[in-house]
Amino acid sequence: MSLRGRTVLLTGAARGIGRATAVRLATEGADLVLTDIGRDDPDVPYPLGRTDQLERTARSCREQGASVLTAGMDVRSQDAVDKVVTQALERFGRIDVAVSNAGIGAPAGKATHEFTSAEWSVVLDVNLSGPWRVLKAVAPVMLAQGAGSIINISSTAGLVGYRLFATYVASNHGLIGLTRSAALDYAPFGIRVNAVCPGPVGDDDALECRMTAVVAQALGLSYEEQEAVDLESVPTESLVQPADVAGAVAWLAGDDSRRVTGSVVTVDSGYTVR
Amino acid sequence: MPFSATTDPARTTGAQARAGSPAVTARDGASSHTVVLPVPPELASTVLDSRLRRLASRSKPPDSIRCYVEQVPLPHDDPRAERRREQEIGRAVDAERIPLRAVLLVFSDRRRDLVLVGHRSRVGRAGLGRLARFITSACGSEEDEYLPDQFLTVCPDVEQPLLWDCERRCPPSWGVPEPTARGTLSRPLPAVPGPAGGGGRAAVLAALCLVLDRYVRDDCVEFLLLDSPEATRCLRGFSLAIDPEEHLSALARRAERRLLADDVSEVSNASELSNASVAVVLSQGSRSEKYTACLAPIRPLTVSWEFAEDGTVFGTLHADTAAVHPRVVEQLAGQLDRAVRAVLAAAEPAEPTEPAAAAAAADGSDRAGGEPAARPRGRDLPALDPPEVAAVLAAADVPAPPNPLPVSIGTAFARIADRHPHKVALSGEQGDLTYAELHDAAQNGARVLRRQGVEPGDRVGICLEREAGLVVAMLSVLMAGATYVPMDPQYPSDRLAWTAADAGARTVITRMAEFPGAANVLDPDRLTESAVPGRDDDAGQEPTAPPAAAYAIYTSGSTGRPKGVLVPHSNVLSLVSATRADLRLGPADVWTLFHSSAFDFSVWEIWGCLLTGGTLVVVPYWVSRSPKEFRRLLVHRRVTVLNQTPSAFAALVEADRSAAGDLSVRLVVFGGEALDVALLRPWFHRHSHLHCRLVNMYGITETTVHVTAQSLTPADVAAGSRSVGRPLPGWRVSVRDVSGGPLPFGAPGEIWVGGRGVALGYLGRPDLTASRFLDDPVSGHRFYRSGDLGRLHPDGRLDHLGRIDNQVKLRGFRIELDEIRSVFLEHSSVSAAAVVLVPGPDGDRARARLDAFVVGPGPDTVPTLRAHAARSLPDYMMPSRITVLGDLPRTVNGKTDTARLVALAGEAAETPSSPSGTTDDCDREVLPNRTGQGAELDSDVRRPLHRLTAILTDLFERAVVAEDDFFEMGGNSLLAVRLSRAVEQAGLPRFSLHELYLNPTPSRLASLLESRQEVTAP
Ligand SMILES: NC(=O)c1ccc[n+]([C@@H]2O[C@H](COP(=O)([O-])OP(=O)(O)OC[C@H]3O[C@@H](n4cnc5c(N)ncnc54)[C@H](O)[C@@H]3O)[C@@H](O)[C@H]2O)c1
Repeated sequence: MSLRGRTVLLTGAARGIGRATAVRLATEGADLVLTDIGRDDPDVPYPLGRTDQLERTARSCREQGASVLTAGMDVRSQDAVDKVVTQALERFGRIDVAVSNAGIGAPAGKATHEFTSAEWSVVLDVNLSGPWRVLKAVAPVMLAQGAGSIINISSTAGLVGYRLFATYVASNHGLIGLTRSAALDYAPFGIRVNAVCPGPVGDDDALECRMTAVVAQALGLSYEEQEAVDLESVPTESLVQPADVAGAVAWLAGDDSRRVTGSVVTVDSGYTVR
Repeated sequence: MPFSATTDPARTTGAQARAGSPAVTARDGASSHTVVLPVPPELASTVLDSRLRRLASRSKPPDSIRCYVEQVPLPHDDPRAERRREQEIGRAVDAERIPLRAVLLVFSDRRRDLVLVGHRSRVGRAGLGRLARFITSACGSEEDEYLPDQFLTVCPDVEQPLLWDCERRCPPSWGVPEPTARGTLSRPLPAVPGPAGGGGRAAVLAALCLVLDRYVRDDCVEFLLLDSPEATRCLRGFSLAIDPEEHLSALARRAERRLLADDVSEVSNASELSNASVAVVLSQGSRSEKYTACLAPIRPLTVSWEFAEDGTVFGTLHADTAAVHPRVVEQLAGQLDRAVRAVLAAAEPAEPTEPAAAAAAADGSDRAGGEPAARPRGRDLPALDPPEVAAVLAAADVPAPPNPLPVSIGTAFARIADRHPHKVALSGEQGDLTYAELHDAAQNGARVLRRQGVEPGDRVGICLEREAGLVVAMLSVLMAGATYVPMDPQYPSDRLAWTAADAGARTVITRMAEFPGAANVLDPDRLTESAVPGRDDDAGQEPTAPPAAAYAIYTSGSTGRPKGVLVPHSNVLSLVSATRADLRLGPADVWTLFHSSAFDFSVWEIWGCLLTGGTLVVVPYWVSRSPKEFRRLLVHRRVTVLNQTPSAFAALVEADRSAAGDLSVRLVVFGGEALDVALLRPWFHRHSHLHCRLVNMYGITETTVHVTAQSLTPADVAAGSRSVGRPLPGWRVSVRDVSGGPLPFGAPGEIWVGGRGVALGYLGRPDLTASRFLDDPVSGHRFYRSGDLGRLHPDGRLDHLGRIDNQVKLRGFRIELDEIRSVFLEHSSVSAAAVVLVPGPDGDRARARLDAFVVGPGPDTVPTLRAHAARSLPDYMMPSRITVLGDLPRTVNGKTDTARLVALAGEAAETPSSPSGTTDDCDREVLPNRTGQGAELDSDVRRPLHRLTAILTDLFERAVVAEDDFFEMGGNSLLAVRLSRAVEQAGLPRFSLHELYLNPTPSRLASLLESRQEVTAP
């Protein structure tokens, strides 16, 4: 119950890592503002989170005794983000934790120069500018509170390169840079900013986590082939589960990490060790 | 799904645009209150929904009420559902945007709870209850489907500025929190039957005053009172003088009159209010509604009492655990419960059948029969019940280490000498003495003394400067089975004569040609000159019976003649055994003998060193008077254990700032007088506490040098700790009220010391001994009453608060001189400070004044210092004069010489054209020919403009003037947050970022704040 009385704003909560995180934070006693885009996007080559998926996440959280506010929110719109922050404040009065988890893994599968300008922009806009917009909206709240924890879900793609994934890799590297700079800006004011870098995450039906399939599709591989590649790449011989990422987020959200800021926590089954 | 009166998205401004404080803060929590009511099952949810919709649509201003209906997929009584409800109850609202929130929780078993949270500035206790009952009423005909507007009173925010101050923490001095504690705590107070019709209100206040009186050493008890039966503008101060002799019934009547007094200003003025650390909320309660009077403590300790229709009184304590220790809260709750019962019982018209009921209620016993205490008084109410008495006694009672003690100092020394015969024991100007040599010299000395006719049990005077011969003489006297009486040759001869005579010392060891009034004068060299052949009965044999007292040291009390404190061998041996392990004292240590033998700090230096095998370096008088020379000696002799009075240490720190050569000191022990930790700041700049440990030890001659020990770190300096630590193993302390009753944790009272250090008593003064050394009926232990003021922490640490008589009274104000002193010490330029009360001419009390003396700053910094002090001291505590001295005058024992300072202050007052501008004199009363410019300076530094420019100058690290634009100077929102914090810390009103944009210059911002200040302090 380390997050009792705290309010968390979470993006990309409809499924996957976002859902696992939401439920974990609910069991820690947090109240939640769960958001996701809630519709597909022509620039993204795979289905995005739906509102019914978001409501399913919300119900799982309510069953833990959490108070949950849900909202459709595209992290590409500052207005949308600001509006949700306002609603959250009206409902809960405070925002203690903001988790930027919304992200897209494709368009991908091309050599760097082959991406179109639109493909480049959409990935950067969601994965890098999205977390910045969230931060821009919550920082004044946290400054007034004199406390807060901002957690950006980046990726091992924020630490190393991946062939045919320049947009994704660039956006996640950028997100780590954003995290480090912001950590310095707000350190004197009690606001911590950290990043979590999951390695390849195993797909999970209950969480509707399908990123491996998306990556496989982008690279023109079968799901099984991609999973084999992923397994081959990690020394632990088992892939990261969404709950593992959620555990890192729960730690960064709570007071156990009170002196941790600007750090990059890898949860990658040892992927980046070698 | 939220219902909101308007769905116009344009109204929803971005979070960015909302300047100031977008989040609900602790201030909002303190102003929010909650009612929870179950919704009857027969009430249709459509009716409920429409009522909530109507409520939202009626909000004034529009969009200021939010209603939510939320599904909880759990049964009503599931623990997770309960947590959900608790969370909802504790969620504050804010005055400006959403002052009322209704949340309907719908559980999976179809039960429903309505949680209504309101802001006090908009809705009072009664309104909140009526609103909740209206929304949930089962019988809703169309006609009563209206929302009476009086539910929401929009009233002028008179109390707002006062409530807001809850962010200014005002921690109570008695809170003794753990330094790292955070969070809040609520503790219910049991329900007590009381008179119907709200008659219990005065009684609970009277009870609270009785209890708080134990914690504040002040003329009267005061707190913030929020008494809101209906409206919301009833915030005011409440104060009551407490006389323990008063009958409880009379006290309750007085409280009643106070409560009914219309004139709020008569009750208390606003500036007193803003510093109160206790708040009380009284409200009409109902047993069927769950009411929470505040969602964050309004003040560090907030007591809320509700009065049910049938008169039952029940309450809750809310505390900020960063300011009040949970144990203190717990003990307060127990005291409040007993006091409320007693006052209510006493206030009731006496039932003829039960004459002793009130008395029984008062002391918790079943005392029956016509005792005279049938009308109980405040003093009849014991502070603590037996389990709590046991707890406070146990907290500061540290068991002695199990190892057995040697029978005498002589045998203990002989053992060490056996173990390290060739180690240097004593090192003086004339050379070194090894342990074997010192042992032999003392054995020889003992025989010389015997020859001189000294018998075991005799008292032998020793009047020597610090030299090796002094230690030889002491050990000789002890080995001869006698008691030594040290006297300082610097003392006036009258005093020497008197002391020797009072002690009955027929022999005095001294280098003085003749000792006033002594029968037998012995030169110390004669102890060692001629080898006296040993007899069997005294050489190195273990005596079987403990010898007489080891020494008698004369201490001068504030009144009367000095008195000889008789300390037995076992006390000294216990002291060494209690400290050896913790301080890691051992043969590798080098100590100094710095203090006069007549000051018992030297007992510690000599025996602490020699009974643990260390080397004792004798510090000649002239070296002890020169901090520079002394530091050189510390470096040269590689001294590892240093004992200093804080006054002497201040001078050493000063010398250390500019000196070369590395110190080997690993341990500094402070003793002899109260330590102000601010003094250590410059030391910690140069020396890590990991390499050199600093230990503050509180003690008294009557309890054998030391009683408690507290290690000090930079964190203690930052926190301004006054802790002197826990008792040494074998020692115990207790804090008592005037009648000897144990006081709760945090409450200040007299420090009593018991255990292995307690002296035998005063030589030849049985009456005085009986009055200060006593067998305590409460604990069954022997205690010495110190006359020092202290308070106990729940972990057994003691705060030393000065002498009980160090509190002075000036023009009706009670003032702790030490408090003023520590404010000066906080200033970086000040290395030492003292504050004295200077009596007016011919003892005229009305013209008495405070004088401060500081060491360190240049003369031109006096105005800065004055401004610094004015920032934290109320006017009546401001010294009239600040004088810079090269060093503080010290007594022979190295303590600050207050009498000299008072004399100095007197001299300065007689020469108004005082020399060289080192004195900043602002007292027009004393110096009527002065212009009173100082007074203007005072009011000037208190003005917002002055403070703002000072804060901004700090912030931008460059000079800032009244017309400088914050943003043009490079200000941004982060700096604005810092500015707003600093402004709040300076005690100025709050402002929003938005207001800073509108008033970006110090002068404009200052006028804004000034206008606001006038509201705060009419
Ligand atoms: N799954 C992995 O292997 C893996 C590895 C490393 C990092 N990550 C990162 O973890 C995060 C979550 O990944 P996941 O695997 O759960 O993916 P996911 O696609 O299941 O979840 C991401 C969620 O973000 C939402 N989203 C996408 N664009 C959005 C937008 N513009 N506005 C609002 N919401 C939007 C989606 O609707 C989706 O519900 C992502 O940031 C991803 O980069 C995932």
